[in-house]
Amino acid sequence: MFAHVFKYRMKCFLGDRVTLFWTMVFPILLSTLFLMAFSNFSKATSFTGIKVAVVNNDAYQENRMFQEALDSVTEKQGDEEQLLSMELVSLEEAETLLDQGEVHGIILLDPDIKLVVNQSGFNQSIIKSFLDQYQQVSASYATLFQMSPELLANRDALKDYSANYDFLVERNPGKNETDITVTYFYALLAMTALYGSFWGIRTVNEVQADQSMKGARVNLAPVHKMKTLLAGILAAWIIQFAELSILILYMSMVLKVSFSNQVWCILLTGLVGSLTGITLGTMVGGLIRKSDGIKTGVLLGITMTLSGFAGLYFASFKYVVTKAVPVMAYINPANLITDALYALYYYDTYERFALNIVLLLAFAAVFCLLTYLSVRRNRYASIPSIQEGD
Amino acid sequence: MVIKVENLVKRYGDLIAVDHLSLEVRQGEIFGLLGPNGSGKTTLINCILALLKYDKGSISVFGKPMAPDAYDIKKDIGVIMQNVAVFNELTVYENIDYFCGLYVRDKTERKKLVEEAIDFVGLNDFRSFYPKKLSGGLLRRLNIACGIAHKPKLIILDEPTVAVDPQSRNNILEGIVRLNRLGATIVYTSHYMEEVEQICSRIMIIDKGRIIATGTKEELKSMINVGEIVSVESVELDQNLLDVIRRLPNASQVDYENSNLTVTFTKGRNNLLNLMDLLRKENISYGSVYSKLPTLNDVFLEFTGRQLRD
Amino acid sequence: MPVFQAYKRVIKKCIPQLLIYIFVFVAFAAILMTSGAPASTVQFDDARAKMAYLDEADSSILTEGLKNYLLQYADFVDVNHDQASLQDALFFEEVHYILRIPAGFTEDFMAERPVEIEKISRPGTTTSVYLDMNISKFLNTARFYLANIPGISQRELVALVSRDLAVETTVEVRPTAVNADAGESLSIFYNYMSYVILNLLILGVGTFMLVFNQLDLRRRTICSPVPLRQQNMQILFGNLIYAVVCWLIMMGMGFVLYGKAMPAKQAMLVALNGLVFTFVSLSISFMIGSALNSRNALSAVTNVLSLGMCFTGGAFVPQYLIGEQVLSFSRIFPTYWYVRFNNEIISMANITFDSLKPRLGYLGMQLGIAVAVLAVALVIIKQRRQAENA
Repeated sequence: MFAHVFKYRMKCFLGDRVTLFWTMVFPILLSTLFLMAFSNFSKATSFTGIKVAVVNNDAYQENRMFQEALDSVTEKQGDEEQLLSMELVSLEEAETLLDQGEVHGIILLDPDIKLVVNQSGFNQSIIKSFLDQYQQVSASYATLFQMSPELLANRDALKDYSANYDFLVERNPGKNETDITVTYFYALLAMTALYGSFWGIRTVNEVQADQSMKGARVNLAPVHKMKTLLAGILAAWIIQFAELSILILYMSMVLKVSFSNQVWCILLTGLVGSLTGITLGTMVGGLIRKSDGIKTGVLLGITMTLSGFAGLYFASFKYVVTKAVPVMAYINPANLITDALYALYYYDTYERFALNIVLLLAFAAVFCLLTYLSVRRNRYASIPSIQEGD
Repeated sequence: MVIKVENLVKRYGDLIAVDHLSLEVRQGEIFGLLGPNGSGKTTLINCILALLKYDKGSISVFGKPMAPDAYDIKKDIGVIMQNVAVFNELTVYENIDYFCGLYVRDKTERKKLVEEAIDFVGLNDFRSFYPKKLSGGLLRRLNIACGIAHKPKLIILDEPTVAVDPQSRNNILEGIVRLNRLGATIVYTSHYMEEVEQICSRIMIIDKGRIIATGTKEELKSMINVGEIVSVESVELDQNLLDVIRRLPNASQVDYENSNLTVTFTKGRNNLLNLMDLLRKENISYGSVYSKLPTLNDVFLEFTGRQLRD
Repeated sequence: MPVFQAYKRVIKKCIPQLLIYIFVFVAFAAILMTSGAPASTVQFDDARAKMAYLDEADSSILTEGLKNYLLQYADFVDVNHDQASLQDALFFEEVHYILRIPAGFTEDFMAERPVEIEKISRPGTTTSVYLDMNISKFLNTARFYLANIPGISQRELVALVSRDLAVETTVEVRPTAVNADAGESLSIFYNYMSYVILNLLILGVGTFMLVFNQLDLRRRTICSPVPLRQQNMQILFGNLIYAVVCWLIMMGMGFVLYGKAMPAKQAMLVALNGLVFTFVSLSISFMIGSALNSRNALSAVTNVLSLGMCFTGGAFVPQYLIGEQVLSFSRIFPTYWYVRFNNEIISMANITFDSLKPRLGYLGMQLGIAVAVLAVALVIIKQRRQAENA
């Protein structure tokens, strides 16, 4: 009996093109759009030589030291990006370039060094830091010679200023590259998992006599309603999990989104996440005894809000929200899914991943219980005459 | 006794949908439940099926109390609801198989039953069609097949012919009679008196949740005074003659309008002949003559003062 | 005007759905307003990176000196010192840079032994380069004095270094028409607006066309005594009124929120751009409405098309984050030209006819797309009519 219902639930769901679209095709398209939107992200945020216009006037031509200093930061050294990328131009040209946003600043020797910019910002500050340094080093030498005049005479004893000594050692922040864009994809997976609730609504509607005529038929058959419901949830779960797996596969194989390499853990996240999504749907479907449109609207609102808090629209929103209201990290299923994937990707340890999975399961259990309580009732107060169809 | 309802009361807030109603459906009959829209027919059916909570009364089916988990009762009931309840993603065959499968576990037996049901409603040519491709009438037939494939002993049909073309309607009505001949007890609700009259062996007329009358159609008709209604077209009568007609035996009401005469007779013999004799005797020419036996509408009219269909 | 009346009724039914888009947009704009801190336009401020400073050694005069010096270039962010908190903070850009001074640092440094400071950052980002540069400046200057003045105390050292590093370059800020930060949120606001306009139009116009194109309904209308030409004029009239109303609402919002921040010339050009885009959206909606015949399909197409065009065209994510290839592809979308026009107009220091001329082409591109789409729509309509009448 269970197998019979299960088989036909699978058939029905697989033929439900509208829900299949929203739970699989749409996320695939959206993930592709995400990829496109961030296609230049790493390039745009990574450092490239800052464009400056240097005014080619007499003062500049006479200042050999400054020219050398400029050379040292505009020439490529090894595979490191040079600090500045300069253009030697006339003052008018320089101003046009600045106006058109072609350069971030103008270096003008007047004869003192002067920087012309049209706004504050990191790029401008880096140019300024460079110019500062040039002048500060001169100041240092001056101070030193003033304090120890003998060094001026005995240049051999002088230990030169060198900017080359590297005090800083880079340490890797996490297991994988620090790439905030993966959050968007993880949050999209969370959204998709919660879209599983659309299957959930349908499953519940079709066993409730007051929600659909098919539900009435199910209630008239000599089969326990919970059996039919469970068969439906199982079918929905399998389909949703398959869809999610396809989406993950698509993201990692085609879009090259970085995932951790613990495949089984990722699949586990998908499996648990889909269950949470579906039971969210069955719960909402059971508790709200209104039209299908209203249920879908409510679920869409819930899903999109939760996914938003998990970083779907602005990745850092996930962090901001959980920092401001720490409990949000634990009571938002979308965040739990996103965070589980993030923890796998970025952390060396499994505690945080495990916590997320356990909480997701707890949510699924609560949703199941509420579904049961809302669907359990056998007789209905009223059965509106339902017009089927769309 | 297949169904026994005693003193059933169902309220929706202040509205009483079923008002202290009792009924019995006997083995082997086609029991018609006739009433206008909103008279409580569907509510009554849903109560019998244990889909609805009710306020008072008791219901038993096949001699046992009906309950949502009375699966041994449910397995012998087939229900065809007013609205079509099929899955758009499944074919005709699959839909019937699905619903039949809720009743019959055995695969080979089920296969046979599904085939028979398809045959029965005449959907052989459409077995692999999806519901969206079916016309309204065919869809109704599918809906019926889904309800009866498991060969239930009791079949409840709730307005199965609403918005169905005449051809499909006949097909459906004939089918119901055939099912009955094969041994099923039928409960049939409708607000079409012609249908009920045509197929039902016993009829209950309800209005506002209360029973108006119960009986065979002959019994029902005998409860009212109308015996037959005779109409004569294109006849020229004067006031005197009309008075003579009014004095004819059994004539209870005489209307004359635009040269058309309508005489309502109470029960009795030779009513038509008496009228014809009179006209011939007076040498009056006339056009067509019809005699009409009373309908259930006349019954309803007499009991409630309203027409069955508004 | 019976057809026009029907148009109004259909739109009225859509209002709740339309309001969702507007409300989300208002919320978005409100968040945007509160986030951007106003920066001064006349005075140059060094950019500050967000930094977590961890001193494992007990603070010494030297490290305190470094810390004070860094205040000029960094905002210190308080983050828990455990590994996970640091990782999270860096990943979600709560901090750009984590600096960890190891135990024994001061001692080793003063003894001129090799020392290392640990830094964790997103490698190769501008902020990372910026802080690297300034931290090494401090330490290298200190090292210079340490090497040349034997026995110098920490206090003297810090005093000398701080004095030298106080030397600053003169910076001149050329004011722009729109303050850069305000300009950025203006661009974000108006670019996102394209998504809202597109959705409002597709939903409203699309729904109307869907209703009106139902075969039986249209045949009945055609059979009415209202001449076909007049019916079409009324539909056109309804469409135009609806489009203009949507545009007015959007511009009204823009005016209320940013009326003060934008000079009149810019405001007028942006509004003109908005109007042009509204017309393109209208023709797109018209095409969609003529091509589809179910609400499910309408909502699928609406989402895919509007999200697709807005993501790739740069309405959500700034165009510089989007890769070259994607951008060259998205030139076929009106959003690309709309966004580009906004960005360039808003950031332009002063608008002359010469600087405006090339940008007018962007409006031309949008209108061209509108005409092309309209042509496609007419072909679709014609084919559908033929198919129906065949």
